[in-house]
Amino acid sequence: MSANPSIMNPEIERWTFTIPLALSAHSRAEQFRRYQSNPDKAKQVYLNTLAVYAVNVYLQCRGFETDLEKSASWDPVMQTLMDVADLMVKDRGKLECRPVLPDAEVMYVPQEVWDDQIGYVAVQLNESLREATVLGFVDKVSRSHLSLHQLRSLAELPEHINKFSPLVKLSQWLEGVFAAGWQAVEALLSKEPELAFSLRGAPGVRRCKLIELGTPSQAVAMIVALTEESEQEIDITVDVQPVEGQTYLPPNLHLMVLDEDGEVVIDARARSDNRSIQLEFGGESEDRFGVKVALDEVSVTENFVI
Amino acid sequence: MVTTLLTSCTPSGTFITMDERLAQIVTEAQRHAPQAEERQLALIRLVDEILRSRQICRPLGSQPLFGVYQEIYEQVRQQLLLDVGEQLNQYNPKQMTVRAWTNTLRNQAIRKILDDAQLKKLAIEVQRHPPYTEFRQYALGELVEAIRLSGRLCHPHRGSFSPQFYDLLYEEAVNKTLTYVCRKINNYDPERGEKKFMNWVNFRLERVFIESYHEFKEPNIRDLPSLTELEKIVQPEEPHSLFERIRECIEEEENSFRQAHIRNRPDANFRAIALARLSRRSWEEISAELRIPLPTLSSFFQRCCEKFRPKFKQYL
Repeated sequence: MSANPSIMNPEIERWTFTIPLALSAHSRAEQFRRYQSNPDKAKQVYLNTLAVYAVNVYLQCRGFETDLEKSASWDPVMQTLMDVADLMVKDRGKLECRPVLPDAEVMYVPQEVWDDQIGYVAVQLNESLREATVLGFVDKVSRSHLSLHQLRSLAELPEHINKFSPLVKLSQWLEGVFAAGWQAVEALLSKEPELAFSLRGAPGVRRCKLIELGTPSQAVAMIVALTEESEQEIDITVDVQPVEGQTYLPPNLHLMVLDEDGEVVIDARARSDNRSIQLEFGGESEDRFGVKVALDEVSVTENFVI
Repeated sequence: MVTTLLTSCTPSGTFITMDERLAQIVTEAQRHAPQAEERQLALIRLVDEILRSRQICRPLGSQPLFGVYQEIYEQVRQQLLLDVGEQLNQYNPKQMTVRAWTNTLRNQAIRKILDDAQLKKLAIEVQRHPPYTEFRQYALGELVEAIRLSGRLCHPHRGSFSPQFYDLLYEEAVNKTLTYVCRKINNYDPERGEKKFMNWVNFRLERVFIESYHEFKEPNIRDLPSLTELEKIVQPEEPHSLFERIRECIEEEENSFRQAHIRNRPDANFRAIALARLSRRSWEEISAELRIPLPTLSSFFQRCCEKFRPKFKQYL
């Protein structure tokens, strides 16, 4: 029998995230509870607040930004009108955070929160309400009671949220405002990347983002450059380059520009000796488009609005 | 804590729980003499079983462990083999459940391995990946659990408070510190803080602890309600409560609430539905009465609530 410690034990227990519910969680829950004189509603609001708190901590521990003020669950009027426990994840969407009682085997999702969520997270509370365990999630519900066995592993949640890529607002780039992930080209690629001639020396703005296609070794750098042609029109160049340490792009890398409806309007593929692929096109203010990078089955789409 | 359910199938085809499996392997290992090869093999099986419930050095997706995670895993495994080997014969099932015993051993081994140098490596690993990438998120998760399991978080001002209040303040501070570490990990400079990672973390913990004290010292919160206690709280009916004001607002509002309605059904408008919901009527009832499918109704209602949020803010 091999005693090689590098052989991974293939089975591992499900990942869950447990945190204590202390002063700020309870004081906020109490603050909201006081608006409700109906005992059932009061309890509902209290527990919903604790559940949202727990998921909020979890998300911040994964580097996501949240917006409690924008969440209906943090608004006493919304709390009164609906059994709501949503948490707005900045630029991504809302997660509904459902409290699960200690002995429960199902997650209850009321009808009035079935729409417009990017996922539903089950948060188990213990009897003393001093501890919350984020159990897992589902991306859709079609019934109000969901067995806990049907939850997806919490380990998959960050990737799931990542899919909801924030719309990149290019008009903000011209004002020097950039969303997270879009860095100066020099930050990601130390050697001067080969750019289309038209951009060298031209005024404008360009940023770079790392696009992971499955594994880090299959990552590429996407460079998007803008130049203002006129007040309304903008010229856009999209460049895909290999990352630090690699000379060529993965062969068969597929770069596409999609229109508002997701239809492919420009298409390019890398050959085995490609160091970069470039696409150029123009657009006007408010135009939306997507840039999709695909390698075999894996693809990443970045969505933009001018 | 979530109790683990049925997970494994023995050769005879019956299902046993994780805890039972653990107990079986312990008993099996205890049967052999300390020098016997069977014992060593049984110990390996036991250690691997114990590590199935670990919170750190978990594989990312279907990939094998790599880098610092693999390093820590192997060290923990070796340490655990030693520790379990030494303590196996002292284990008494009457004193402690097998799960509690193995968890204690597992956590002790992890604490021994997670020194500042390892934690620092974990932190630097986070910094290597851009935000919102799977690797970064994985690395953050590992770092958070490692900090918690390392036992290297300080306990500032311990003697100054009653144990109960201290626990609450401390937990609050730890939660805030962990989220801070994750949000600001790019600011961590490995060259500073005497080159110790935990100095950066604990510096923050101490500060946040004091801030939390100032935030929560008035009123002096000592008891937080449990689930049972929560159910017993009686809130007196307030005149002109928020509930009443919302209801009035919806009843008396001139236009928008009435005009927002389901296509071709002016009677199925937000005003009517909201008032019905405020009167505690169920979706099933409202759906039956209006003869509109439940999902259509609840979906419409949800969207209207969001849409009218600013309006409610204005009125209330």
